[in-house]
Amino acid sequence: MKRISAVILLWFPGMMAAVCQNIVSGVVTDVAGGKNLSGASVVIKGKDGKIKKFTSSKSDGSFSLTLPSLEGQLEVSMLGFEKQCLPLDSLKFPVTVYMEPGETRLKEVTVNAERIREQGDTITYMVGSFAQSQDRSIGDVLKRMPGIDVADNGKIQYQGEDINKFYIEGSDLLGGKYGIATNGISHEDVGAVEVMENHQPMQVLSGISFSDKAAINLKLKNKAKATWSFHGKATGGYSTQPEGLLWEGEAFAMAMLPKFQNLTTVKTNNDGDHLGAYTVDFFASSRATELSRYIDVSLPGVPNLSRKRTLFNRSVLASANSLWKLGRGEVKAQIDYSFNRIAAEADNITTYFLSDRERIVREKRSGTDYSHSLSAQFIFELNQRTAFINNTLKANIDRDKVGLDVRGSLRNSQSASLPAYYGVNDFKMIKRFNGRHLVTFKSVNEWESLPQHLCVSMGGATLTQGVSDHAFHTRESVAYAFALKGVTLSLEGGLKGYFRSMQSDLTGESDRADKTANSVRSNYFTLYANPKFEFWVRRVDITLEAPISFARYSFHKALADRSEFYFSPALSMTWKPNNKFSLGFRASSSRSPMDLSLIQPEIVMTNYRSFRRGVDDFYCSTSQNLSASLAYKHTRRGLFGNAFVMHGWSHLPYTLEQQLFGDYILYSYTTAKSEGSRFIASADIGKTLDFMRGTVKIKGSVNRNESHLISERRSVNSIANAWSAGMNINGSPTRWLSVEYRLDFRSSRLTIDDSKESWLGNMENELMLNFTPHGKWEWHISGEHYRNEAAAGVNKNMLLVDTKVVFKPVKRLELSLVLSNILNRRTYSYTIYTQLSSFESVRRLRGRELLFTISIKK
Amino acid sequence: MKKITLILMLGLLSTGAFCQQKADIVVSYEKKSRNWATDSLQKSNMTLLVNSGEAKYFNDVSLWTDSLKSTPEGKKQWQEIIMAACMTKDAGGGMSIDLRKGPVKKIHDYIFTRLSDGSLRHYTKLGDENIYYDEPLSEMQWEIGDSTVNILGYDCVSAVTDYHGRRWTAWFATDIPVSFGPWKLHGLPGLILKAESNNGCTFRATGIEKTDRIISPMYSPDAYDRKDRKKALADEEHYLDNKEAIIKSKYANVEFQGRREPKKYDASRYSLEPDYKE
Repeated sequence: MKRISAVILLWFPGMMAAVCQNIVSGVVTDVAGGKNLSGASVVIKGKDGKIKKFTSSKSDGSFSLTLPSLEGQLEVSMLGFEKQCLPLDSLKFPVTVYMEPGETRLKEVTVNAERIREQGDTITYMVGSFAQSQDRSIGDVLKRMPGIDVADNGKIQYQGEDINKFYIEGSDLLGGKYGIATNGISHEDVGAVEVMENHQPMQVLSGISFSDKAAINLKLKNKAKATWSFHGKATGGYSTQPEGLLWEGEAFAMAMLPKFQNLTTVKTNNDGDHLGAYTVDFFASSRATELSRYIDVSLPGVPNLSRKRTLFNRSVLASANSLWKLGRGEVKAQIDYSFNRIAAEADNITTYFLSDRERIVREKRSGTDYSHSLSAQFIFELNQRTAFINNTLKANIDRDKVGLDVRGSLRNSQSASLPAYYGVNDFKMIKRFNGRHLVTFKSVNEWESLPQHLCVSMGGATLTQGVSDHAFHTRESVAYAFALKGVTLSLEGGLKGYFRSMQSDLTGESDRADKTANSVRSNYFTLYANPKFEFWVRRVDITLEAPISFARYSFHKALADRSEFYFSPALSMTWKPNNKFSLGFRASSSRSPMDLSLIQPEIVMTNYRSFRRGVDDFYCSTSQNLSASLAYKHTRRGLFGNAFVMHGWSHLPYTLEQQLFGDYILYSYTTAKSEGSRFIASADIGKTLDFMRGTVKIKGSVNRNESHLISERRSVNSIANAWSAGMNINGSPTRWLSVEYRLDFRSSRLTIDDSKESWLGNMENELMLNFTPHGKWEWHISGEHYRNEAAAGVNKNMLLVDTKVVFKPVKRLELSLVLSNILNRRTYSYTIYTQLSSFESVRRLRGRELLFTISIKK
Repeated sequence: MKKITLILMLGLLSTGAFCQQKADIVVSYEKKSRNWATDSLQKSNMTLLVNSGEAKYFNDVSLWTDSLKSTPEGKKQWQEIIMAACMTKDAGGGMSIDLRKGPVKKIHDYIFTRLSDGSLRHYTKLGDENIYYDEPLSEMQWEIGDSTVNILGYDCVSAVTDYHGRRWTAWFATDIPVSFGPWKLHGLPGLILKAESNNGCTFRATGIEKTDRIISPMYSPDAYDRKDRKKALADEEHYLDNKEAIIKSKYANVEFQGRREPKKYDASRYSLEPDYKE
C-alpha cells in the first residue's frame, strides 16, 4: 500500500491529531477488450453512503484522489458497464478496476419535451411520449395520437382520410394488410411514427400528380433494426360461458434487414379475439368481377357491445410476409391463412310492420360458421424517378360453411356451403421522358368464382338452392400525361371486357309455382377514355376529370342486347394557404349501369325465409355528389382538427319491392323511379395534454339517408337519421397511475312515410385505471357501461368489469392474470329497427373468465 | 415503474477522433430564466445528448433550422416552410410575415462538452455577433451537499459550486454515470437533472430517453468568430444598452416605432455569468 505522509500543521485549530493523507489511485479497464476506459465515474462513498470524493477517469483510464482515511468504498460506474463497488480497506493502490460489460438501466422511458415534430410534409410522433404502461402493440399507441384515428377494424385514418401507404422503416412490406403490423409490433420497438402528408408513393409521379392522402411510416428503434426480433405468448384459462378451457397463443417474428425483410406471425385463440380482422386488406379496391353472393345465411350480428364480449370462437391465423431488395427493384411475397369457427345463439322476435297489421315471427337460432381463408400475393416493383413497374399476382381461396338451426314459429335448419375463388394479375408500367412526359400501360385481369349451395329443411320438406357464378374481367389501357409549370394534362384510353355466367337451380318441394332455374350469361365490351386536367395556382390544386365510355352489352336472351354511353365528370379543388390549414371541395356526377347480378329472371332462395328475383329490364342509374373537407393542425400545440360534409343524390329507374307470401318474403325489382339522398357531416378534434402526458379526442357525426321501397305494392319512403358523439381522454397524472376514459353516444331514428319513430340512443362509457405501484408490477381495472335504449324510454343498462395483474420479473418476461366480466353478466338483449320491421334479440355473452398468460420477447 | 434496459454496445463507446459520435441518452430540460426585455421568467425547452465521453446542449428547433440551412437545398426548403407557416396574404395582394407563427430559431446556444479535450466550447450569439469560446472543464468545482430529491424517479444528490459570479445548486443522479448536465454545468459523478442559480435561473429535466441520435458537430462553424468570453459579455451589455443607435448606424433607413424608456442592462439581475463586471 502506497502511503504518503502529509505535513502535519499543528497550529491548525481543531486538528490536534496527526492526519495521514491517503492517495486512492488506479486505472479503469474494460475486462473484455483490455482497453483503458476514460470518462468513468469514480466515487468514494463513506460508511453512511454519502459521497466523500469523486472524479472521473482521464483519457488513459487513470484516476487519483486523496482521502483523510481509507474507510468506505470505491464505486466505479460507466454507461454500458456493470457498476463496481470495492471496499477501500481491501485494496492496494494503484488498483486496476476491471469493468464488465453490462446493462445500465434507465428507470423509465420518460418523454422528450416535444412529442410531435413537424418537418416539411412529415409529422413525427414520438411513440414513447404517447405510450401508457398498459399498451402492448404499436396499434394501441397510434390510437392515442391526435390527428390519427384507428377504427375498430384496425383501419387508420389521418385527418379524416384513409392513409394510402403503411411503411415500416420506409419499406412497404405489408401493403394494405397492415393490421398484422399494428397488432403485432411491440410499441417498445418503435421510436417514432411518421406521417407523410400528400404522399405520392410512385416517385415517377412526383411533381406531376398531387396526392391528398397521407402515409404512415414506423421508425424502429436501433435494437429492432438489422436483427430478428421475436415475441410470443401463451395463455390458458377457464370460462364460465361457454363453460370450458380457454387458450390463446401468439408467436411473432420480424426482421428489418437492409436487403431482406420479414414479418411472420402465428396466432390462435378461443377467447373472443377475432383474428380474421388482422388480415383485412385496407387498400384493396373493389373487384371488377362484381360478384356477390345470392345466398345470405349469416350468424346474427351484435351492435353496441365490443366484440370480445360476444364472440364465441376458435381461431387460427398464420401470416408470412417477405420482401427482398434486388438491385433497383423489390420482390414481395405474402401468404396468409386463417380459420375461424364461430358459434352464435340468439332468441329473436321479428315484427313486420305492414300497412294494416303487424306480423310477428318468433325464433330461436343457433348456428356455427366454419371459415377458412387462404390468400397469397406476389409483387415485383421497381420504383424510380423515371420508371415505375409493378406486377401484382394475387389469389384467394375461401371456404365458408354455415349451419343454422331455427326453432319457434318457423322451425327449420339451414346449411350453406359458400366457397369463393379469386385470382388477379395487375400490371402497371409508367415511364417518364424528359421529366415532363409520362406514358403508362396497365393491364388488369381478374377471375372470380362463387359457387353457393343452400339446403333448408323445414317441417319434413327440404329445399335446395344451388348457384354457380363465374366472371372474368380484363382491362387494358394506355395513358399519356404531360406536365408543364404546374399543369398536368393526361389522357387514358382503354378497353374493358367482361364475361359472366350464372346458373341457379332451386329443387325440392316448393309452394311457389314459378320456374326456379336460372341460366344467365352477361357479357360486355367497353371502350373508354379518361381525360384529366390538373393544375396548381396560388396554393390551390384543381383537378378536373371527365371519363367517357361506350359499352356494348349482350345478355343471351335474358334481356335484349343494348349499347350505353356513360359520362361521369368530377371536379376537385384543394386549397392550402399554409402548412396548418387545408380546405378541399369536390363535385361529381356519374352515370353507371346497374349491378349485373340483378339480371336473374327466376327466383333464388337466399335463406329459409327470403327469396329474390331480378329486374325485367336493363337500367342505368345516375348520381351526384358534393363534398367539402377542412383540416387544421398546429403540431407544436399538438392540436389537430378536421371536418367533412357530403351530400349525395341518386336516381334509380328501378325500385326494390318486398312482398310477403305467408311466412316468406320475396324481394324483387320493378320499374319505378327511386330517388335517394344521403347527407353526412362529421368532425374530429385531437389535442395533446402535455401536463399529464396524455391526449384528448372529440368526434361527432350526423347522417341522414332517404330511400324508397315498394312494400306490399305500396310505395314507402323511409328516412334514417343518426347522430353520434364521442370522446376519449387519457393520460398519466402521476408516475404510478394512468387513466383512460371513453364515452360514445349514438342515436338514430327511422321515419317511414312521415310516421316518426322516436330517437333511440346508445351510450357507452369505459373507464380504465392502470396502477404501477412498483417497476415490476402493474394492476389494471376497467369498467364498461352500456346504456341501450331498446324502445322509447326503455333503457337497458349493463356494466362489465375486468381486472388484470401483470408481473415482469425480468424485462424479457411478463406474467399476467386476467379476470374478465367479474360480475358474470351472461345475457344481453336489444332491439333494432330495419326498414320495415323490428328485431328483438336476446344474446349470450362471454361469462366470467380467468386467464393466465406468459409473454416472452427477444 | 416500467424499466427499460439499455444495452450499450462496446464498439459505440470507443472514441475516434473523426467519427461522428452516437449519443446514448437524450435528456430534455425545461429552462426558466429572467428575460431582460420583459423582466419576466421565460421558459424554453432544451435538449442534451450525452454519451460517456461527451455532451451537446442545444435547442431542437435551432438545430433543425441550422441543419437545414447548412445546405443550399435545405435552405430553400427551410424558407418554404417558414413562408408557408408565417406568411399571410391579404385580399389586396399585400403580404405580412409573422415569425411567431412558425418554427423559428430563437435560441442560439450550442455547448459541446468533451472530456477528452478537457474543455467545453460554447457557440452563441451575443449582441449581434456570432461567437464561440473554449473554457477549461476545471473551472467548475463542486461541493457535495446533503439534500436529496427525487426527479423523474431518480434519487438525486445536491451539490454546490461558485461559477463565474453565480452560486449554483445542482441535483445529480448517480444511477446515470455521466458527468454532464444542462448548459455548461458538468463535473459531477452523475447526470444533473435539476439546477438553480442564485438569480432564479432553473433547469429541470422533463424527460430521459435512450436514443440513437448522433452528436453531430456544429453546423456552419465558420459563421462564428472566436472571442474572449468576458469581452463578449461586456460587448453584449453595451449592445443591449445602445441597440437602437447601433442598428441605426448600421442601416441608415431603420426607424423604430414607439418610444421606449431607455432601459439599462443589469448584469447582477439578468446575467448568468456576471463575473465579467468584476
